[in-house]
This record gives sequence, structure tokens and C-alpha cells, in this order.
Amino acid sequence: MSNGKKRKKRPAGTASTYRAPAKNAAPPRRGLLDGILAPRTPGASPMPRLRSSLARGAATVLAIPWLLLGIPVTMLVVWSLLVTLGFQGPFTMMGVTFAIPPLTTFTDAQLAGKTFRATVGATGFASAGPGLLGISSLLLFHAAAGAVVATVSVEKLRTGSVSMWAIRRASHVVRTTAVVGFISLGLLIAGNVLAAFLGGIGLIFGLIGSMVVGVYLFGFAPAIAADEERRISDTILRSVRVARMPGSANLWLAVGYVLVALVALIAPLPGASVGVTPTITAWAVAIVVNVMNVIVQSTLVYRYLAVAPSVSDQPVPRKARASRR
Amino acid sequence: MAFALVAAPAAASSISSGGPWLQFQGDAGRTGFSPQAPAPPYTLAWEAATGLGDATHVSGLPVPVLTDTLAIVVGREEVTAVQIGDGSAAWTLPRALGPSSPPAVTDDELLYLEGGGDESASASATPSASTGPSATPSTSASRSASASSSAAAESPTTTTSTLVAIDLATRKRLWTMPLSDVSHTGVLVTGDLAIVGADDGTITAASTRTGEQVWSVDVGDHVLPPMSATGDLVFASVRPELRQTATLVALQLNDGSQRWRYEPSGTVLDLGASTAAGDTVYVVASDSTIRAVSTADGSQRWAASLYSPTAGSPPAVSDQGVFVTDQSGTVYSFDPSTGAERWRFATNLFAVSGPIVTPDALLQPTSNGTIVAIDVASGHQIWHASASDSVVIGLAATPDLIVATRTGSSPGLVAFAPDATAATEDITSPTTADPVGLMVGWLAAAVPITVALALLGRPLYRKMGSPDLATDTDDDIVDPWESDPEDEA
Repeated sequence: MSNGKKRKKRPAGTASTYRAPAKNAAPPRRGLLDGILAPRTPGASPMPRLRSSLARGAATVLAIPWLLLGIPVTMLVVWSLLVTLGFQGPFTMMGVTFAIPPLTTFTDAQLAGKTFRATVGATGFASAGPGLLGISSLLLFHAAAGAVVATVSVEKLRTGSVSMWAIRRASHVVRTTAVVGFISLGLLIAGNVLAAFLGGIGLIFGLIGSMVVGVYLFGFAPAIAADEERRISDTILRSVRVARMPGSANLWLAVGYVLVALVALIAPLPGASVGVTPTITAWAVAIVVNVMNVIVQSTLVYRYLAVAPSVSDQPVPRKARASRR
Repeated sequence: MAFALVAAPAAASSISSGGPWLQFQGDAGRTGFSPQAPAPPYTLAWEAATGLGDATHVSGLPVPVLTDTLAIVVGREEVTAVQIGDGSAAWTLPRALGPSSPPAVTDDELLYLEGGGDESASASATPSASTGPSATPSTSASRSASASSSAAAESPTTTTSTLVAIDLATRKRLWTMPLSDVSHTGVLVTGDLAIVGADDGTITAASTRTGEQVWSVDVGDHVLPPMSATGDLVFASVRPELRQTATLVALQLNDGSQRWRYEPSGTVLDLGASTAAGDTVYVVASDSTIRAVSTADGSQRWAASLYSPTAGSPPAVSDQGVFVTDQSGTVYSFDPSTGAERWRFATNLFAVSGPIVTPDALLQPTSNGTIVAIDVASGHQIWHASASDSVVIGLAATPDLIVATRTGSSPGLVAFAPDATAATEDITSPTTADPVGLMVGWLAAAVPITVALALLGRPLYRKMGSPDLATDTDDDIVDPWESDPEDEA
């Protein structure tokens, strides 16, 4: 690892530190979507159980006072900026400030439509430009927030404390989280297209499905980027492989998280109406929802760190998988 | 369908001319302005059940019109009039099933549309019968001297609409004029012309006296919202087929020829109902904007953004401003000449109908059954009351009453009278910035939550101990070392 932090060593005596020259056949040629569609890694999952992961995620987040303080402070700053730019609510959209994409992307599109508006009658790029600029800005903000949460969680889990390293490291991680955000935007667009074709069922399978897929497949990317020095494409493909580890219950985690977060977003909670001065209860609900978001992010970080040495760098070839059976 | 005439004989001879709110939004311009309407606060005066239908059966735009003595509304399968003084039943006429739309009253006639089939939510599973007349529009009206009961029998459930004129005193059908398609526009009366639009884009003008067609023109794809008129022009919003821009077309009243056609810039898929006042016509657009257009040449005078899209209701216009409400229930006041926003008030109650204006207040019906009064000068909410357990659809005003149509468990009419003893209020819009309130709310929520979570976190973290990240693996893991030759040896 090149981030200067201690890295888990292979237990002494379990294997040689010598790595033989590759006698095996060259890795099979990888297909276009092999990273996603290749057979799953066989065997039982080394991933911690869901309940213990969530507990560890919560303990990690709650043990970082600066992160806890940073959540409401960031929300206040963001809300004040948005109101200055013309946004007037609903305040419940702030519940995704620290959410995992594509949940953030979903609200960014709505938020940008109400805040970054073209002049009346504009056409062409002048019409779409402000909205695109707004979505991009919000996407980058969420990327930065996600990067900070990931690096802070990694450092806390690795070393038991948090230092400025997390912030410095986040500046590297933000590239990965930004790419994940743009991929999520594409997923949402695809989900909307599906919803348009399939109607009500499409809304469920398209829109919600695209969010679940995004969280499921790319939720580990910030943790990987924070913990390891990899290319962005490798990081994302590795996230997919981690997500697809059998028996890990990652899909259930994604489904549950998306449903809970969506309910918090669209339910008539305090702050669900138009207005620029949220009530105490609206603030309280939004802060708690964001703490939940950070806990889930930290949970994903913990789950990744627990299995990091076990994740292969290449998708397991189909032949190799069959030969092990 | 069984038609039955339910009439109150006492009301027959009490019709007077020159009623206060004779058509949708009070006048041909659809300004929604009642210069003599009472000021809030109000108290409930009376309620009257009519056949508008509950929330699943109501369709179209069943808004009231008011004469000096009657409040009239077009329901699903009937036209109902109640005494405006106390809400008691005056008469009910059968009507071929169809979407409700605004009627209009002339000196001695009531003009309304009937037929078109069931478009309510309840009809989606069971489409209505189609036994209607020919879809070909007639060039002359069919006059009928028969009693209304027999005339009604000639108007079964249809897939097209028919313009009907009845004598307000006798309730006999004077004439009918079949249209080429279903009409949702309601009836616009200006001068001696009754003008209606149809979904197929046809706009037809007929003489209110004889029912003779004066002119009929095809302006485009669909004419759906109510039309407006001022001077020698009538204005209609034309909804295009997909991927085209909606237009506002101005037609000459005398022959229906096109004076101009306004095509809004930007991506505008639809326009709402227009309001004509003086030399300007105002219309909301699907891109969450309101546009002011010169009646002289169709040039755009100004345009302003709204926070959310509207339901397409016409803006209300008085000498104090142009008022429009978006779907989220935010009411806006604009300067009529410049388009500068004067104030906005977020009711946070969904609105499907537009506001009306009195000299003192703007009245906004909402989807949760509340009517909200907003001071036109300050933009503050000064009164509100519940008129229904469901949607309040439309409002009308007389010098003594505010009358509303409502759906829900008691569909029909409800009237409010001024009551100086009733409670008033002075509520600032939640869209008004309050930095102190913002900080107080934030501090009151953020500090305790952060402290509580931090206090909870320390012992929790200690109890759980450091994570043993290295021991969470098992043996059946594929990693690059598993095929190491030394291991195999």
C-alpha cells in the first residue's frame, strides 16, 4: 500500500513470500464485462455477518466526534448555499447529503432542476447548461463527502484513530467517488428509460432497481480507493467482485439501505414541504438520516477491509472454477 | 341511462339577468377578479349536495357560475342549481355523461356542454358506452322546443360533446350543437357568441340566441383548457402532439380567422388556460413559467419562472397584480407590466385550480379541502378554512358570498359569508428567509444529537474493541498465492 499506513501482512509461516513465476497459463482474455459478469468467487464468504458489520460501522462512526459534528455542520453550510442559490425545499432532500450514490444522484437531478435553472425561453446548451452544471457540482460535492467518510472510516478501522491523513487521502479518493457518481447517473438514466417503457412495474424495477444495483456493485469502491492504490477502473471492478462474493448478503444490505433511504426521502417527514427555515424536528430527522447514511458507508468500509486480502485481482476464469468442483 | 327532471317550481320565475359570476373565472377574460367580493374572514354559510361525484368519479372542471339568485354547477350526469341565499335545491337537469366543464350564463340562457363519456378515475376499468351521435359537426343547431325531459332523452352517453342551451326560466332546451370531439374547455361567452373548443383542435362559435354556427376553425392538435377573450379576439392554448411546441392562438371574434400565433421559446410542451386583461394575455407554460403576451401582435412582453409546474389553471388578474399558483401550492404575485415578482406564499397544499381575487385578498382552493386567503398587498396568509375532506375544485364570488365546488364524501357546493368576528391570522410565507430561526433550529437539533451520539459511541467502540481485520477470512478463498508452487510442494 502506498498510502503510508500499515498494511495487513500475510501471516508468517502460512505461505512463502516467494512468488513463483507464473507457470500457469496466461490469464484468459477478459471480455468486455468480465469484471461484472464473470463467475463468482467460489467458497464460503469471509465477509463478516451483516449484523456485526452494521454494529462495527455504527461503532466506528459514533467514535469519531469530528465526523459526527461534521455531518450537521456540512448540512447547514450546504443548505445555506442552496437557499442562497434559490432552492426552497423540500428540506428532506438534505437527507441524502451523505448518502451513497445513486441515491444522491437521484436527488441531485431534482435539486438541480429547482436551483440551477436556465433563463426563461433559453434553448440548446443555454437551456441545459445550468442544470448540467448544477448536477455536476452536486455530484462532485457528494463525491467529496463520500471520499472523506471512506478515508476517515478506513483510518479509524486500521489504526484506531483519525488524523489529517484521512483528509489528504480523500483528495485522491474523490476521483473514484466522482466516477462512481457519474456511473450512477448513467444507471439512473437507464432506470428511467426502463421505467418509461414498463410503466408502474418499470418504476419499481427500473428506478429502484438501478439504485440497488448502484449501491450493490459500487458501494465498496470508496473503501478500496481509500485503502489501496489502484487505478480507478481496477477499483470499480474490484468493488464489483467484492459485492458479488457468495454468501456476503451484500445485495440484501443494498436493498434494505435503498428502501430505508427512499422512505426517508419521500415520506411526509418534517421538512417535506416548501420552505427555507427547517424546524427543529426537520433538522433532527435529517441529521439522524445522514448519520445512518454514514454508518452504512462505514459498514461497507469495514466489510471490505475484512475481506480485502481474500479478493482476487482477476475474475475467476470459468474453466478454473469448474476444475475446482 | 334514466333521465329525470328534478325541479323546484318556486325557482322558475326568479331568474334575473346580469348575475355577478356568469362564467368561468367571472368574465370572458377569465380574470378571476371580483371587485365587490367581501373581504376575509368568512364563515360557513351553507352547503349543498350535487352530483359532481366523489374523488374517484369526478372529472373535468366542475366550477360554479353564479347568477343573482342561483349557484349552478355541471356535474357528471346532471346540471344542478341551488338558491344562492341558502343553498336549497332549485332544480336539477339531466345531462349526458361526460367530463364536467364550466358553463356560462347569458341574460336568460344557460349554456353548458354534455356528453363525451366517463373520464373519471372510476371509469378506467369499465369504459363507458359509445352510443353517440355522428362525429361530424353540424353546421346548424338543432332547435328543440320540447320539454327538457324529452330533450335530455336525445342526449345519451356519447363519445363526443354537445353544446346545450336552455332557458333559465323554464329549463327547456332551446338548441343543441353537436361537436366533433369531446370538449373540456367549457363555454366562453363574449358578446352574442358562445365559443367552445374540442379535443381535436376545432374551435366553434355559435350564436347564443339561435345556436347557429357562426364559424368553426381547426387551430391544431388539441384544444383542452378553457379559452379567454378580450376586445375582438379569443385566445386558445393549443397542445401539440409529441416533440412540438405548444402555441397560443388568437382568433378574430367575427370570423375565427387567425390574428397571430404565439410560440413560446424554450421547451414548452403545453400551455395552460389563458387570462386576457387589457392589452395583455397571460398564460402558464409547462416549463414552470408564466408568460405575458401582447394581444396586439402576439409578442412576448415578459416571462417569469415559477418554482414548480402548475396544473394549467389561468392566472388571476386585478389592478393589483397577476396572481398564479403552482402545483405545490405556492402563490405568486407579479407586476402586470414588468413581470417582477412582488411576493410568493407557499401554502404547501397541492393546488389543482387557480385562484380568484377580491380587492383585499387572493383566495386559493387546495387539494386537501382548505381555502386559503392571502393578503394581496403583503403576501401574508390572513385566513383559511376547511371546505371539504377532499379537493376544492373551483371558486366563484358575489358581493355577499364566496362559493366553492368540492368533491370528497360530500360533493357539491359550499358557500362562505363574511364574518368580522371570525379568526384571522398573519402568517409569513415559509419561503421567507429567517436566519435566526434557521440557526436556532439547527443548534437545537444538532447539538443534542451530536453530543448524545458521541457519548454513546465511546463506550460502544470500547466494548467492541479493535476490529480484527486479519482473522475474518477462511480457507476457501481464492487468492494469487493458492497456486504457489512452494505451497504445493
